[in-house]
Amino acid sequence: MNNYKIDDFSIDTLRIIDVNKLKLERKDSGYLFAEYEGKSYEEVSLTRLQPFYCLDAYISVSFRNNEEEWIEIGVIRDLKEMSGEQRQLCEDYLNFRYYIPVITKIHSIRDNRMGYLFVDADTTAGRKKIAINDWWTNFRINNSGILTVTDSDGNKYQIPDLNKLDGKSNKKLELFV
Amino acid sequence: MKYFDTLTQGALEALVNRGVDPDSLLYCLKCDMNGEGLYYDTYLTFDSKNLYIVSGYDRLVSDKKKFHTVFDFKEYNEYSMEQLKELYVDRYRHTCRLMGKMKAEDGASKEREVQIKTDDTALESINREENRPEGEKVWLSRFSAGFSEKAEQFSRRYNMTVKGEEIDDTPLAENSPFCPKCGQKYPDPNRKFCPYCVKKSSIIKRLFGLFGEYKLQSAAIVFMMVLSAALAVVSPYFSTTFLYDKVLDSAGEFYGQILFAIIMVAGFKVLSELLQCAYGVVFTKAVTKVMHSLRVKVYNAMQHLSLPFFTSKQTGSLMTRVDGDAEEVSEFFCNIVPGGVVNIVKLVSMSILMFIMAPMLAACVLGMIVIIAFSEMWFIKGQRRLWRGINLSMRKMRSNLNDSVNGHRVVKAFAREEQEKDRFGKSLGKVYDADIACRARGANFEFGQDAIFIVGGAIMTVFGYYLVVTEKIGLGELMLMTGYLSMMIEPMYFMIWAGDDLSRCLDAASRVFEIMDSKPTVKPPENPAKVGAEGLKGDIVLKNVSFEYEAGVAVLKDLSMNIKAGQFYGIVGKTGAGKSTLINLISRLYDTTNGTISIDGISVRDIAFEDLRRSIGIVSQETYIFMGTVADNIRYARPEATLDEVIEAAKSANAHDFILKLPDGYDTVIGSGGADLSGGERQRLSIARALIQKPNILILDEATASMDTRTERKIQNAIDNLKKGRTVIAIAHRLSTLRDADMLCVIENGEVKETGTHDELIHKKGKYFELYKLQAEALKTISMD
Repeated sequence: MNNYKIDDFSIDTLRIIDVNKLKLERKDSGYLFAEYEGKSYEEVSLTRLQPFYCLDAYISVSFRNNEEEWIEIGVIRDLKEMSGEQRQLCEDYLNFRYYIPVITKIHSIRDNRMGYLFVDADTTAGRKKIAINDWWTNFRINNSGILTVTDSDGNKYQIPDLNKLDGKSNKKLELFV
Repeated sequence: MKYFDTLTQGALEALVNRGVDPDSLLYCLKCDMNGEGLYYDTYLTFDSKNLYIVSGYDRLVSDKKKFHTVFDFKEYNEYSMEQLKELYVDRYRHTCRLMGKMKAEDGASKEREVQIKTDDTALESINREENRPEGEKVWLSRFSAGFSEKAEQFSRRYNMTVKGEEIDDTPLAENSPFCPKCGQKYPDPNRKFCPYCVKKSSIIKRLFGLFGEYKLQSAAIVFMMVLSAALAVVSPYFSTTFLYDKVLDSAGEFYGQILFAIIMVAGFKVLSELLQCAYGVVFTKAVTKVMHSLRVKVYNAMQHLSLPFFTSKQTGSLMTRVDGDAEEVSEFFCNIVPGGVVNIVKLVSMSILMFIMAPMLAACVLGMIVIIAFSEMWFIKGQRRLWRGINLSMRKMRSNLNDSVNGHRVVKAFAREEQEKDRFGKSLGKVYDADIACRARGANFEFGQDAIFIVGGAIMTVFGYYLVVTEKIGLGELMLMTGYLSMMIEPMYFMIWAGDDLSRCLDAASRVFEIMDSKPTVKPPENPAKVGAEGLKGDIVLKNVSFEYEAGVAVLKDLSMNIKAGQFYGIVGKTGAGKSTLINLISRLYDTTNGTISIDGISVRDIAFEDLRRSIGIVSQETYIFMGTVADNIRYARPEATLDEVIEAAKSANAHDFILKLPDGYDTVIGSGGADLSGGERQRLSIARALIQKPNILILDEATASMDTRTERKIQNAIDNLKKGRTVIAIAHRLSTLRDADMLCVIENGEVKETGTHDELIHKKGKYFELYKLQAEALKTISMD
């Protein structure tokens, strides 16, 4: 298990992981198990440091210690550096972890003006009627043009590229983005 | 089974077919996703022995104009509570998994029976031999992040059932996420507002209800409005038909009576203006009173709500409700209602008059009005997009401006002025583009509409002259018709826009009423216990206290504590350990999720708020200074305090010296727009504010964190003086602050790790000792440097 001390006074630096020394394994429960530099880690998590801009690079690897805190082991600079099987495992894990339904078509947007907007849309997870409260806050488009929609339950949906959406859907969205 | 979801008929049948007694089921949770991230309906439910999982697809089908849900069964699983000991939620970015922990085995293999049904008819039982290591985790279902709170609560109840603990569902009943009227889930669980049930008409009715106290004025207003509108329609008749056809025409009834005609024209005009003026005065007075009382009601309603209401909503949004939304509602009374009444009366009466006088020409005029109305609607539809574009770009521009102005120190420190200029220039450019696009379309449309109006007017005039020449109508009637055409444009525009305005008002009104209807979550006791004039002494007992701000995320776990009256009780622990939460619970700003807190043997839930708050003085790390003088701020909790007492409290809090240096001493205006105080000065004022209250229980939550060591020491001495006859609870990171504590308690992850005196805890060499050593080492490092 880990030997890192939480109350270590040394200055923390960016630790780039030598992917040749890292061995990840996915358990039936879905959790990752890791071995790195002779140490083994039971419950490991991968985090994209830039989830919008960098999907396959700068992946933080951390483990959960006995005090239920996540401690970073290091950062994988690029998944391309990994072997095929290990890379696939990481990609699968990250795709699962960051899974977000993508809106592919908008059937209708009903603005009933009682504070809610109802969007009937096709998503990669299936068709869904999405209730949105305060659309100004919950339709967020970032600098890369990725639109993130948050419904009133806190569920998120994404449109990675508005230009790839069909014309009719785009027209319906125009009023809000 | 009242919580959390309801099994659809098909899912229930699937369970009954497998011998599950539906009456024995305790809770149900619906999850919405499968492993591949596709929507998939999974129902989890349990009785006192087993957890049942049935999966498939809920489909909405219509049958004779009625909709009902059909469940396409796919899969069934069953876990015995003997084996599945614990449920928990594993959170990812946008989805979660419901996980289970299996019973720890001594390395021996065990058997689990999994029943899987793959179609509607066949039921298979598969006995699997599996080696399960100690406490193996199993994945039970997956769901969107929005279901997590419900899943946490479901898991918690499952775990309590496994342990045989008693479950209290009262908080769930109080915070049901379902509309009691239609049973549908509220779109926003934090907003108990059902848009499916709340009809616009009911909000309008309620809005009119605000005028209940002014029935007489309301009746007078409506009467004057209708009369004024009718006069506005009738008065052109005297300057056109009456004048040309009855007075100037030799065949007219009043031929030559020009003075009479002038008196009639002027009289009607003056009467109409006088009525308008009178109704304006009465109306303005009534509306101002109604709006004033509405604002007072909203503000007062907010004051009675509990702290969670304020913390769950942004301050900006609350301020908007008191101010902006109330303003928006006033539009309803000031614009929509009077405008609506007047314009409807005008449109209807003009149409009737026109059809009586010349049906053909009336049809022509109304046809033109309809064309203009449709073209206007088409214009608005497209223009809305452009207006929103302007709105969005303006908001972004303002955000940028706000950002760079507020962060000017950083901008200058890093010499990024050019970058900021560029950033602001770009956002301003977008406003410019959006504005130009909008104005250009508006100008083009205006040109087009003018053309329609001119051409249509010309056609109508030609047709009108034809009718005059053929003596079907008089010249005056034609002029009246032409006048009505112009007069109808404004009411028509109003009616087109009224829909938007009304929706916006009703939206604002629904938010305003939502606050007025909200009930405090921390309720005052119905029969408060009697507390003497001397207040509570301060024997505080916490018994198995648990607390969650967010369902499933326990901040305090089964915490017990015993603080004796007159004790100086120190609480230490890392940031986020739950120390401040503890204070919030003792002073009953929140209610415990589980467990009890009592002071002097009385449960805090039975102590009247006034008695509780006058007995407890809190100095928190975040201090708030109200607009007003220094003296007013100190005597905030006890406005009747004398200046002697104010100065005494300031001296005790070591604030007197810095107050002397302020330009107007105790009369210096501080707070928003007043003199600026440093963090340490604010804290000292906050201590003085708590001291003047002379509370029996003084709570110091990191009260000296922003002070230099010398001031802290002075305040420590002041607090030492105040300790006599008081219970003092102090939270501090710096252990030196708690050096004189009679009892210390170390809290970690919401649990009490250690309790004892300083010496006892040092000898114990546990968590407190670790902290002590760490701080001592840090000091040593400084001295070595």
